[in-house]
Amino acid sequence: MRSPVLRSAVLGLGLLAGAPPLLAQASATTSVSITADVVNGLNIVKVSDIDFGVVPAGSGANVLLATDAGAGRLHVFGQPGRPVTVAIAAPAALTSGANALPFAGAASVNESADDHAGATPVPVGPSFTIRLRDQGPARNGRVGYLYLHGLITVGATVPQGVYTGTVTVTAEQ
Amino acid sequence: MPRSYAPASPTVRAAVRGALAALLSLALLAHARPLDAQGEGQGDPNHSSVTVSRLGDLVFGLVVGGASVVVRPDDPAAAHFEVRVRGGPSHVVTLTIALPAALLSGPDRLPVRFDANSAAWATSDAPDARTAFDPARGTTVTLDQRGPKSLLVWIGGTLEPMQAQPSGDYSALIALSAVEN
Repeated sequence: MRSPVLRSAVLGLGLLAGAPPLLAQASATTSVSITADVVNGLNIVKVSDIDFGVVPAGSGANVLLATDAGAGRLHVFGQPGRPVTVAIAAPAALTSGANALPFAGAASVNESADDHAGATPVPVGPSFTIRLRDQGPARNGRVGYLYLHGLITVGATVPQGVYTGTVTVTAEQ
Repeated sequence: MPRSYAPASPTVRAAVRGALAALLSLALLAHARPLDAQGEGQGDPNHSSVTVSRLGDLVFGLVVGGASVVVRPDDPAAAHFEVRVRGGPSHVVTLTIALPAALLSGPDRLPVRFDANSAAWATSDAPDARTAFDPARGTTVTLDQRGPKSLLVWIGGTLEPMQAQPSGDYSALIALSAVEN
């Protein structure tokens, strides 16, 4: 004969075993961010710098094309349909302390898409006009895409160093 | 005045012991290890876990005042989640999404809109395997019982900046909840 204690414990376990599963549901939650950088009015936004990379002394003319990964990229924002006057000022040389490396800047622009392969050459120095196309309900509407590139001439006697310069782009609308 | 205590009868003692034993059983039940939603339960139908992982944010990038910007769920800029279910008898997962009405930059608001096709789910990365749904309404997914109990979720949206929208870095949060039913 089982004791009352054992009977009750058996009853309790029986109730436990007959209970519905405790884990009827499992759940989890995670968040992500939504981000947007709003630019209003006429704006020029630098996407990347011009970078010729590592260039050996004595390599002569090193050309960086608009389609190269090292080309500088800028986005010009403004009102659609109205012309934007752009001027690009580039130094004649990159410098590393007192040392100089001849630089010839070049540029090209695509008025309708961020596609350097379809960009048209534009002058460096004299101003020129671009027209920003309203690209409709797509990402980055009302933008002109500007690519900066060029050529450096590296002689055999150029001292080793990091050579830099600044290209200035101005826009009016 | 002296008190007298009469011993309880065997029947009463047994009843008390039985009640104590039942309470002990209930106490053990109450103190059992909580079944953790994040715990391991692979292959055990009585232990289930759901995890939601963030694979990417919804990034609208550079936006100009007055120009609506749309990110579709198949755009690389769409928010991207992975939901994994382990264990449990069910293959039905309910997705609920908390969406903002606007992005904020300090006191400035940038309205964001979600439509019936702003979100999609799939059990693989294949673009043609995706099923669109309205993120505001959420959805319920029945997973293939023979396949992995996981799915991918993408969420896009539409920004509607005003013509005079103040410049700035705007942000907000989307929260995806997954429940195994």
